Amino acid sequence: MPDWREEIRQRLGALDLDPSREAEIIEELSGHAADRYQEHLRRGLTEEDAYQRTLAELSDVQLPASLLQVAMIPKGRFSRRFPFPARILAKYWKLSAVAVLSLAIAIAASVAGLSVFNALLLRLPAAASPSALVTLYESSPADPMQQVSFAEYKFYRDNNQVFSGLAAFDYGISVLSLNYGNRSETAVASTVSESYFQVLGVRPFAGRFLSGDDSVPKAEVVLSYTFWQRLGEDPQMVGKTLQISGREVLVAGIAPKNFLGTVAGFSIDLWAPIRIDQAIGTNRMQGLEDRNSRWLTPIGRLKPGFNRFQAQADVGRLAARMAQDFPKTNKDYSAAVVPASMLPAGQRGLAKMFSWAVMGIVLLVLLAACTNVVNLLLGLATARRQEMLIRAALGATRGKLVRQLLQESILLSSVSGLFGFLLAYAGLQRLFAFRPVILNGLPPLLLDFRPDLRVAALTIAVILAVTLAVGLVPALYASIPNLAGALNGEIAVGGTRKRSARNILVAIQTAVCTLVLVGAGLCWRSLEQLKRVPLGFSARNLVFATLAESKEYTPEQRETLYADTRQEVAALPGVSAVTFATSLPLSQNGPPDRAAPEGQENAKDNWSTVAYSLVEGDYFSILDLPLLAGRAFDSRDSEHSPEVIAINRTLARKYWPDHNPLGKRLRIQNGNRLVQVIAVIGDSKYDDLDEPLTPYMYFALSQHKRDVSGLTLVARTGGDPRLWMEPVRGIIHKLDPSIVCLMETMEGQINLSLLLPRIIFGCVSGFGLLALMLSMAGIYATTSYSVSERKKEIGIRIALGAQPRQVLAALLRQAVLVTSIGLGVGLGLGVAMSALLRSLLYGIHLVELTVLLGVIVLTASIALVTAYLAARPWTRIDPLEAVRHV
Amino acid sequence: MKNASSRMLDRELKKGSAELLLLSLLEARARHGYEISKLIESESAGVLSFNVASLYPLLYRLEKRGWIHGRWVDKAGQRRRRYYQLTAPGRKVLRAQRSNWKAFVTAISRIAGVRYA
Repeated sequence: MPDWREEIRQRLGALDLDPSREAEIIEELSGHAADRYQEHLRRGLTEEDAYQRTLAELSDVQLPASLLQVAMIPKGRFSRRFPFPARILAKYWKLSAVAVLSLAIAIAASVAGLSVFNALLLRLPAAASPSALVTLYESSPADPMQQVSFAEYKFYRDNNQVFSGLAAFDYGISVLSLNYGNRSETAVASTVSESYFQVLGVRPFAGRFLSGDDSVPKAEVVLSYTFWQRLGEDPQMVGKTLQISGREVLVAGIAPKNFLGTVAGFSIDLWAPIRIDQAIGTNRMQGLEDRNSRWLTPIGRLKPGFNRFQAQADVGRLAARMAQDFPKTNKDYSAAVVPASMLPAGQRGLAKMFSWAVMGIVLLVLLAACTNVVNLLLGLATARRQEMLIRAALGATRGKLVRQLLQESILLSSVSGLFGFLLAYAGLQRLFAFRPVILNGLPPLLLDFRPDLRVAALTIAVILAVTLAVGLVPALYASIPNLAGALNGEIAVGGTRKRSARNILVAIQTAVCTLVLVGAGLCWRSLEQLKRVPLGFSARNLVFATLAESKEYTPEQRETLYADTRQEVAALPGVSAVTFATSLPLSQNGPPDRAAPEGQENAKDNWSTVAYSLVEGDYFSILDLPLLAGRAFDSRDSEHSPEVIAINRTLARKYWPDHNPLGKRLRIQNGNRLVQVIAVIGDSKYDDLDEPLTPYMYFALSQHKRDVSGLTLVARTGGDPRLWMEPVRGIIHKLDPSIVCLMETMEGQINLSLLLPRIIFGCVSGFGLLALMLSMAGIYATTSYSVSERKKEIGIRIALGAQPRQVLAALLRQAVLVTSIGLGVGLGLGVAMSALLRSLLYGIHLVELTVLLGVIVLTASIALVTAYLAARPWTRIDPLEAVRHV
Repeated sequence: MKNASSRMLDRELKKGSAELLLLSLLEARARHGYEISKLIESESAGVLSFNVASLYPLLYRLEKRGWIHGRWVDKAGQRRRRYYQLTAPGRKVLRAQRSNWKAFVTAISRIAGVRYA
């Protein structure tokens, strides 16, 4: 039996039929042919004759044409027609591929941007109905966003009328080493109030959560699900004990799998009650009742029916009451309520700025991609005018045509959207797995930017917007029912209006690309400036180790520990000097103090907030901090001698601009002490590389031995300081295995300070590259389309004797003009942007000539080369051919 | 092979009367395409013949106009076939075309009768 289906399909092949309709037609016609064949056989024909006879009946030239008439414009059911756009896009696959790729990359960038935005600003803790959760912070004139002390927390908790529960936790995490059976593990611990889990509405995976009164010391912890897995997934874990610093600590329960805590960037291993420090010694104990020791973040659940603003009023009332009752610690303090998030209140501003910047750039890139695709589709629309006109002639209304073209752009943007989303997901998943270590000894960061449902929903919105943006213009254009225009050859020659529309698009794209590139250039300049900023000290060959004691030490024991550490580290080969300090340049400084010159304490203006460090006498020489006047601390400065201080030059100039500060005295607010200035030290960077000259104070460690713990050891080494990290850690571990030792080199610390500017530069320049690629594609497409439209003109010019060079110049003139306009607009916007960014980026001038020139050269040369490549093939055409084909 | 005259007739039919022919054949009951083509051939004693290429486009056009309605029918032991059925509008069209055709044929035969008489 011959395969009639194949015969029929071959004859229908030229038609663009709806596939399901086509299948029906094939089935029906081949059935008929089969019947006919059987009939011929019954009449006594041979198989061959019957086959030939049937075939002859099929081979009517009119078949495709007459079928086309009735079946080509199918009935208007949306779903039945959907595959049709797919075939159209497949037909113009090169254009479609460029469009899909542009859009996919831009959508991937938007998804990534949205995810970062979402993760930093919007994502809430994995708690029950998280939208009812708020965090509370206090403001004072000195610091607008502060945490609260334990005493204050208790007051808010017991006296508010708006929260169904108020818990508190510490955004600062601690790293501790613990033993379980014969295992030894390092764990990230978060200190929380006993009501923490109840307020968050989290149910334990096993056991129970913390219980009892926050003020009563209790040696119990709640494990995270992943930490429980790490410890061996013991189903009987609850009720067993861990050893932390040699003390027994009860495992009260295990948190559910999805609960990672309320601190962004870290996956918490265990949660400990506030007073566990009495058992495991995390050095907080002393300050628990001190109203000035503000380290807790209250997180509350609003009672049903109450909103954030009512809560704000209520806590404001409580803060005012405390200011009245405790003027010494709470004067001028007010309280504020904000929606809960994973970021501490003080960091939200920065995160917000970063996220908005990313979103802004992403939108620009998306705009560039859309412009590109509109451009491509306009080209496609031109190519398809003929098809549209035939359809219109066959009876399709304009609405139908627009609908069909919109279906194509829906398909285009959906495919790109899906592709882009997957691309972004894969990328962010990798970032999630990457977990960069920012500080030796600290747990790696958890960069959970993976898109969630909210991001997916927003992505769909983006795709819809993109669809309309890229679909409507070309669709309306392509479907203009201008039969006469087509017959007059308007299509072949190309209208000037449409060409100028397309040129505007390319100019916009070039402007966007220029703007993003200027942004990248500014980030680069700022980064270079930061790298070259004078530190004021020498960072070379310094290794440091912060000794976080997790045990209670008596001052004598501590002194012995430090003395032993110093002796052993100094004995390491290659170590030339060792010193101790409470904080180092560019690392976390402790809370600042307030100071005023002696005799001027009564004027409020003379008090200023100054950060400080407690150091030993050789600290200045080891860090190469210049001693400008006076002497370094030495054996004369003991706990029994009058307290002395070294100040930096900025502070000296501030208080004694015309006098020698040596011998003068400063009043220090904490403890109301008077200290005598014995040295002026050169200025250096203290917190950030981009900070202005900042006042700073150094106290003598030898005069405060009893007050300090968790000192940082600094060693100057005879080569790459990283080589000494392990030996130093070994010594400390040998002296006390319970000490968690955070190690870093000063160069590493500087790199860490450069991390954020580097990330920003990386992001912006990545987007800049993207924008450049997109605008290259745009320029290429526009040039080649506008050139192909002018084929006839080119043919005539060549026929009249124009040289290829002249033709090329004529063709490029347009590209040059469009690029120059885009470049000019982009540069103008770039300068405006520099004005805005000057406060955010270090060392940026309003007009960064290097950056602007670089962007001009880069964009202009790439645009020209692209246009040249697009136009060149057309200068070699055969004039006869060109004219004939119009 | 068909001769030239039947080919011409074929084209004429397609132009005007073929629609009437198909609608008439579907008046009594639903039929499938092959059956329709066989009926035309046998009833006209071989004078009229429709093949795949002429019959189906016509059927599809009538269906598109809503005069007939096709649906697939499965019968045991046979391949499934598409049966066409006259719709209510189709019936109306058939009535109208039939009376037109009668008038036309009467007119033609009157003239032809005079000529050949």
